[in-house]
Amino acid sequence: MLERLLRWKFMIIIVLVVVLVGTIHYTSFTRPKISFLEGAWRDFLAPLQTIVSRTQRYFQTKVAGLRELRHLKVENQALQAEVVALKREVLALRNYQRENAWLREALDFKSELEHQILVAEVIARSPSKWENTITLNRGLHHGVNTGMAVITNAGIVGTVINSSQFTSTVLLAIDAQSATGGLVQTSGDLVLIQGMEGHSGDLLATPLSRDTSVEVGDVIVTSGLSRIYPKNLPIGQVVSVESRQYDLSFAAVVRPFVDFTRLEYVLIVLPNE
Amino acid sequence: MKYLGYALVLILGLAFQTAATPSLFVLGFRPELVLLLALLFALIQGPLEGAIVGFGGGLMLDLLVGRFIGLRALTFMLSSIGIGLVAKRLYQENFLVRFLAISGWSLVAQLLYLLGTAAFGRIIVWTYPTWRAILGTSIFNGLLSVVLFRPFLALNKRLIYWDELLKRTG
Repeated sequence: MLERLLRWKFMIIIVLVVVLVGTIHYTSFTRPKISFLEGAWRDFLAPLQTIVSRTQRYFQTKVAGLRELRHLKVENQALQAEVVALKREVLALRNYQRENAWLREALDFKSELEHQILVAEVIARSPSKWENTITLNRGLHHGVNTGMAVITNAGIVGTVINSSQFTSTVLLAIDAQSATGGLVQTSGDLVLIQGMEGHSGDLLATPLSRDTSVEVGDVIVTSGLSRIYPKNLPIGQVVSVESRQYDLSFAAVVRPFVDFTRLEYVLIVLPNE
Repeated sequence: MKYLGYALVLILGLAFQTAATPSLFVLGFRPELVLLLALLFALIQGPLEGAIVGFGGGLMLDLLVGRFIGLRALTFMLSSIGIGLVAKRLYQENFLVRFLAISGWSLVAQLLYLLGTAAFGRIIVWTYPTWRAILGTSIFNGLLSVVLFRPFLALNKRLIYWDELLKRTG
């Protein structure tokens, strides 16, 4: 069989290269929908990736548990004290929430729409450093679609770029192709948050107006102006501000709050009905 | 039979590369297991079989990533042919030779991939972190090859033996 194929090797190589160049060109852009073959391949691999991911996590947790056994007693006491304090705070916040709802009603405010969320497990990551994506175990079957925001309690993670029946691929916020609207928490100025080229893991904030002021230590949150992320989700903290082009503009390096190397579970923000 | 075995090894490698490697990160570097497997097969079996395994492994990764489909298949295939041709002149028993060969061809494969993506419109910034990631992965692959070479040689012999057995017994 192989010998027979070898007789036609030059023809096969030429056809192969032409087909490959065509597919490379066709898939060189981010596509909202993937082909049946890609979807089937991802769904086929997903159970295996889940097994590997969970096994690795199990051993990691065991090893970490053994390491932290010594500190558990002290930590437990501290946590118990924290629980008491937090319970008190929750009670106070409930009172404020009730008061707030009453006052909003009185002032005829529209209540902020709460988003529905879906918990998803990270079952795989991009195979090399050249892509910043993760794979989740939720797909079209679970109602996940292209363009949905993915977050954790620490902050924004990224957006769903395509889904198969049972998995979704998320483009991380640190990817150079990613961009979202941000807001400097202290000044309220708008900035554009993008992933940085060069795989540093940081984000780049560029101002949207000339009189925007950003300082080291400022916290950046989502502006809510894009249709992807809800408002006021934490993005990161400014670690340095660099001047650009004759000091007329600047770019701030933002360290994200989310640790993108340790993502295990994330929340997918579902659109409101 | 032999190629089914190769495919299973590649699928396992792919699952480990995508799902388990964060725990294997050393100093932020990550290995490219599928590329490493393809290069190891090419080193042991020669350029032709290496090319088939490299192409298959690359295509598996391409379909998973969903961008530049075919580029990894092409670059892994070329790198496997390259190492397969060079391997004839190498003294493979020496671990240092294996380390240098796998590291070198891992470097070539990554550079070819990045240049390929740049040719199709992606902006690549050749800064220190990029070079660090390329070199780190290449060295990591080289180190892993030193450990994995003997088990792979044994696995390959076993696969060939089963293949022959199946051919003879029908």
